[in-house]
Amino acid sequence: MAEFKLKPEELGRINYQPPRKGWMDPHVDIRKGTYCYGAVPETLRYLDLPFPKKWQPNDADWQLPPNWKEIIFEGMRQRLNKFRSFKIFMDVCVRCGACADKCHYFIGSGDPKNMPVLRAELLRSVYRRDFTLAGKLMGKMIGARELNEEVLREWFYYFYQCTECRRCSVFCPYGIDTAEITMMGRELLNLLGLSIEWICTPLSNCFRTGNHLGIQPHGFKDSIEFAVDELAELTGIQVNVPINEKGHDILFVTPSADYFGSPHYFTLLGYFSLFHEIGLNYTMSSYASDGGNFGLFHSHEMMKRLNSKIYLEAERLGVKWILGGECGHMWRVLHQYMDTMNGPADFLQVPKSPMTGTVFENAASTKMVHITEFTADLIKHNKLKLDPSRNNHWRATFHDSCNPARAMGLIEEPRYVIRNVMNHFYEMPENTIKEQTFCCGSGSGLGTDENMEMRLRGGLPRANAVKHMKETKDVNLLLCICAIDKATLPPLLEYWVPGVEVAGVHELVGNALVMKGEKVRDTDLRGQPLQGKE
Amino acid sequence: MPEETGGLHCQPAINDQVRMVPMQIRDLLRDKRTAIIQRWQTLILDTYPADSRDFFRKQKNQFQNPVGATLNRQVEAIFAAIMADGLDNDAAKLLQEFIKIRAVQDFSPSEAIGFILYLKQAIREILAEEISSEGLFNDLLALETRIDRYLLTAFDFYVQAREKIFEVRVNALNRRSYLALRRFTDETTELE
Amino acid sequence: MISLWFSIIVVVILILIPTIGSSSAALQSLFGIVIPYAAIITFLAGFVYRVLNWAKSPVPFRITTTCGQQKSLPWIKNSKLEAPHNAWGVVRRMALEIFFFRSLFRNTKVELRDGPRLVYGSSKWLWAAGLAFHYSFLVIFIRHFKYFVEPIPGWVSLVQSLDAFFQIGLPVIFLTDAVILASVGYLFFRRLCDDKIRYISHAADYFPLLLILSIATTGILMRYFFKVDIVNVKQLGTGLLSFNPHLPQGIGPLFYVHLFLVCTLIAYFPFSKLMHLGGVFLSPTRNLANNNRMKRHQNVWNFPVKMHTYDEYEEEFHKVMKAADIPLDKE
Repeated sequence: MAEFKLKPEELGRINYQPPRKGWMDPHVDIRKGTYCYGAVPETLRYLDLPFPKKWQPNDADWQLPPNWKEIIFEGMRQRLNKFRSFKIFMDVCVRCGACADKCHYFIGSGDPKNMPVLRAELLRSVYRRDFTLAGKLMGKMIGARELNEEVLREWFYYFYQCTECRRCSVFCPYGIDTAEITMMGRELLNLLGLSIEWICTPLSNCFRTGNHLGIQPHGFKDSIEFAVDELAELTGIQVNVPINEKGHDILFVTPSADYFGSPHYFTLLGYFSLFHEIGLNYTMSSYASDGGNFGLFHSHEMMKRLNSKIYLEAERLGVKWILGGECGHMWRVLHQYMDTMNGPADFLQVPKSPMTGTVFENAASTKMVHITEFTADLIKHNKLKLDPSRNNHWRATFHDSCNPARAMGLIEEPRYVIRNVMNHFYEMPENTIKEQTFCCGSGSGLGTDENMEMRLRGGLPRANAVKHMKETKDVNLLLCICAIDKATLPPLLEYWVPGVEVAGVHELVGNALVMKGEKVRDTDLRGQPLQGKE
Repeated sequence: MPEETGGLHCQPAINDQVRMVPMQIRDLLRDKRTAIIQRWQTLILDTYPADSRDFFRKQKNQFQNPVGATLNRQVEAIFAAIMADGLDNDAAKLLQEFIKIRAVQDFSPSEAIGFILYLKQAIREILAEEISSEGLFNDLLALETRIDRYLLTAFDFYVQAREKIFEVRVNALNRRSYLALRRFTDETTELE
Repeated sequence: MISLWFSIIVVVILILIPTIGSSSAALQSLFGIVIPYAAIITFLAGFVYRVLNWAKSPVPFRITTTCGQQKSLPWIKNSKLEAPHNAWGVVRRMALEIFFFRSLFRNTKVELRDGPRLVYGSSKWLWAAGLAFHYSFLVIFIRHFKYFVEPIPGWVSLVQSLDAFFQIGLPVIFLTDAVILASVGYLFFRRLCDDKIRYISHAADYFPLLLILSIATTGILMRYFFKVDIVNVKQLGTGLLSFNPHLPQGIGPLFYVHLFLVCTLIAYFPFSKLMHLGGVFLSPTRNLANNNRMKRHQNVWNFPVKMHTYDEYEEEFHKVMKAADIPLDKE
């Protein structure tokens, strides 16, 4: 919400026309509710990151070092030489506008600088002036402009208004990926100590304790035990979840919210039910207690630093391969970065399902399998006894999380699982799912409390499609396979589409799974009565 | 949230001297419906940055353009409500949805709901001639009173939406530490 | 809007220069020989430099944008074109992108809208105009080979006769002449009329469109209205190509305007967004296979980072781990 600025007598003023200025004159109002708090100095210090300071984005003085421009230029130069993507994306855009109305932030806010092309131009304009001949000669005429503090503010404001969802890149004729540009923009801002609290605090937590929430090993174990006890109450079955034990076949890594937040927690109960029922020989790890990786939202270096623990732990525990839980950005890192950054994982074996004998050739090098790939394979081979009617109280639709859809192509696996564990499943309109899926509006480290209004705006296109499903199919559940989704879709729907809940796919697997020796099930994993058992 | 519209706002009835919009101006409104609605829409769209206006106007697919689609529907609905006896449930719901959008966009509270007043402007502009030639000033006053009442309804919706945001934030924080809260409660119960 | 006027003025000046200059016989060799060679050299050197410069930067990560189902389990049908898992798939994906503008086309699904009625998205026009423009440009480019080589290769004649398929008018009207005017015109007016697109446009966007429009117009004028001596033009062309240039007399100023604008376009090319011609082949989100977990991608500058090892972790949390009965490496 904007600060109050109209005088009462102006209230009925009709001919309100916003000033028509070109975008080249940098200007940005950093208003409450639309930005994330600045990173606190302690976290930056803990991670050895430059220029820690007490700072907020709406401060007048950003306490920049005197040579800040040189730092930025040098940072740009280095990245241009290290990333072909960056160089190409700076050069080849023809401003055709195909991406313009594809961004959920633009659709929700109407702010023209949220058009992906313009978000990139914020950086390109500086690149042109200082790194290209044409820009040096022609200047403003061809969209080159000088770097100054106001430009830097724009960068901060708009690179933290991009969720790195890559929807625009699907429509771009040259495959220009704004996520890549945003990552570079954020890396440059990091050089001056300009990052956000909601990214840097989880980073330092994760570096220290192995998970973003900063839960220490005993706390981790407590949480897991709590879940195990509750599962015993719900199902009558005592499952065993090994922690940090050597000699198992599989290391299971999942985002930390799964054992802390809601509705993630119910998905965790689903995993545990499944693993117990098939007798999976696995262990979890308190050291690798988070597959999620906020490093992706910060810098390639932090991504690598946080990701390293997964292979290190797999090697230490002597497992054969790694299984990964439901998470979006975690899977972008695991699929597209982990092997390159911290591999080769030649101490592991090509993943093979112990129940079905299926060899996951698609993970032959990385040796990590997505839980929906694993479960879909189990179902296909009839290894699970499922009672879909136990999910009859849900009428669900499925939200493709950005990263599994657009960075992995994981589209049919979750759907196959869903169709087998429930009876009422409906797809949202075609241009809002699969590779064209709309972001939750809170990805890439923007899912913080103070930023709620911006998130509600950015999530409007997604919520709107869900609303349509509620109105036409009476849908009351939105399924997803992403920890950030599970944290951010509930508030989004609470505001835009009250009455629709959010759940992970494996929560429904857990509901439908008929376990040997279970007690008569009259509630689901949430403790809600099943249909007909109220 | 539809339930929250409550009966209260749906039938603005407080001391309603002008329950019906007078016949004569109502006929005029019906004749000039398209022009008035268009003008009103333009005035509302003008509160958005010049460069996104066009998008909200042209992109007709409701999934690609929820803001524009909601705007169109609610403008029609309010206009219909003015022609009829009051804001029925559907119209109230549409108004509420539009206000919910404006409550999270870059508007001050007055800007967020002030667009209702633009309908007055649109009507005065489009019907100026008829109103003065036929002396319909009393009718116009009655009509504008009704519009004022919708403004108040919009104000209620706006406050509801803002309150909802804070509620949503608190709930989100609770969900975030769900297990910690559960365990804390469990432990305290055990102690008791 | 300044950038639009700026572009118009520059193009007008570019037209005036040869109009005035070529009337002097002495300057004709400048416009007919020196400038074309200079432009070609600038183009070749610039193009090669730009592409090599891009290629110099490594591709550290395989960041494919997947637009379809990955290859995973054998019974799930994978999308070989939208999420290719091998080089052959990538080649086909790139071919679709380059020859048919696949990504732009994506927008054009038929949609059911309020009403209900079926409507085509406006972006289909962008795809259609873009494709029409690029292909007519290519055909016109090929047709022009006839001015540079003797005898005219059979395939050039074939392209030309296909282009003149309808045999309308005299001289026969080439389809591409009409198409290029229409499509470039559309692309230009789209930039002007769509608020969003106007907002993002620079002079660097208007200028090439206006330049190409002027080139096409002067070409059409020469063919259909103010005839130019083709024999002389061909003499100049073959001479230039065989590095044995000589300047025939009596080629009108219109020809020099045409030639000068073409030279400008060619020389301007490597310094502009027109380099998307080369860049599209190198875009890492499109030209890499989605086989990340199957085959390891090497990063040439992969470097060691500060990690938090398990030993450090256990040391810090030894006490609480022991108390919680979590297995330890060091008792």
